[in-house]
Amino acid sequence: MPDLWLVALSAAAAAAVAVLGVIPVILSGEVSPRLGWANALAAGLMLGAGYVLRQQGIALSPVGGIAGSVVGVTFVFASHRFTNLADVDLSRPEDLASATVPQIVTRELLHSAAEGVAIGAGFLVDPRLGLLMAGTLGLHNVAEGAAISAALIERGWHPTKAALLSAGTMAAHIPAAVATAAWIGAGGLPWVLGFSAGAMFYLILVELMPESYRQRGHTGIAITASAAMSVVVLLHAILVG
Amino acid sequence: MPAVVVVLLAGLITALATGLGAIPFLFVRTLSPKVIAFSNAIAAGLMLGASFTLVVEGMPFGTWQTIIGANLGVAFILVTQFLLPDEGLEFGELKGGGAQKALLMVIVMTAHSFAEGVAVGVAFGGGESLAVLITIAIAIQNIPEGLAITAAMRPRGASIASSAWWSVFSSLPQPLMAVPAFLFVDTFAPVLPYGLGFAAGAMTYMVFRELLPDAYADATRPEVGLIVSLSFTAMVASQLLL
Ligand SMILES: [Zn+2]
Repeated sequence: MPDLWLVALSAAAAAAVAVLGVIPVILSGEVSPRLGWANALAAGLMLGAGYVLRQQGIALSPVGGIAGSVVGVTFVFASHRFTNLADVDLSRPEDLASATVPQIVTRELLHSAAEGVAIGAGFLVDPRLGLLMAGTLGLHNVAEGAAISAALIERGWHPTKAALLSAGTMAAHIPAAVATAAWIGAGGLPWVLGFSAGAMFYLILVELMPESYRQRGHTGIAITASAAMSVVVLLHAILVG
Repeated sequence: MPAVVVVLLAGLITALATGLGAIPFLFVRTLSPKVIAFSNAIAAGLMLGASFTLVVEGMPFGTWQTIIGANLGVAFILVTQFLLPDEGLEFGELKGGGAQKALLMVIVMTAHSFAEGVAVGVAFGGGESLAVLITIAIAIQNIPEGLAITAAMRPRGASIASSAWWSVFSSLPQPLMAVPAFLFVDTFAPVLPYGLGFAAGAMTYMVFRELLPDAYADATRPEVGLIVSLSFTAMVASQLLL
């Protein structure tokens, strides 16, 4: 079993950096279109990380890795349906007008829980892969935190409270990562690897990519995402081998 | 039959199989905006799935080489797109922006089968007993690639016949590259990871630059998410099982 304190600590760190997202919102008074770059960078890094997780899962068990990824896609799809926010772009005010704070919080909690499974699954393969996952998700959380903070500030929340609540929803990383690292045995590992790869893949397609295209056009986003993807795959090969 | 002829024939069969990918579109008569968006999403998922396998295949031959190849592939499409005019361009029955995208798609998929052809040749070089099995496997894998090409060309106004033809065309480098790679395994093996990475990068960039934005244009995000995820999974599963 991996060191559960290290798992909890890295998941917590990834969640905590979400408070930084409020800074650009305070400075510019809105969700800056520049966040499109952060979103595309995060999408590319997460896709790269997803490639690594998927490949590790399939190497252990093709059936588990593939079936697990279908479960992951279904989980996020269902959680979007459950919160009635299936087609909502958090960074677009007109989409958010109809969303309530509990809806947003529920959606984000489920979203971060799925990502937490990825951190835990990474640690189960190799602590360095776990840290790579946490770092990747931390970067993504800054952009995600900015979108949530902006939504809350728009509703009259104080920026400090908004920042804390966004980091609070990301804290779902911690129990999800620790539970995965503690309870999943060798037989379940390809399934959770597949699950986290599938869940992140679907999240990227439904949340990150459309948001970043809208914020920053097509060419720059396509270059950023594909380059970021290759960086993670390379980093993983160098760090973990 | 001499081994070289076997490899060439095997490659030709796999190329022809690519044309079969156009068949599903015989049953899709109307090209409504929804159908177009869904087609783009299917092509995106299939191509992302294919590039995943290419990277997995390339890494054992060389990590840096595969990654450098991938970034070269992105740069190649970027430059090609910059050089291709989007107005006044004609490609088959297509004109203008649609012609540019369809042509890019054929270029990307052709680059992809160059790399795959080398992979086939190198694999055959390892031993002939698996030859028939490898050929059948690749022929079957080529069908969804033809589907991807058709799914990307049809919405831009290409006929089913010309989509099928360009699908076969894009696979012709497979036999052409398989033969020299088979004969000179030692020469080709070091280039292989660059080629596999190049194809994966070019395909991934094409998905992000063209196919995904066109999919989001007329489909909801959950629809795009589900279709891309499922076609991605189907592609990876089919390539793994074979
Ligand atoms: Zn997230």
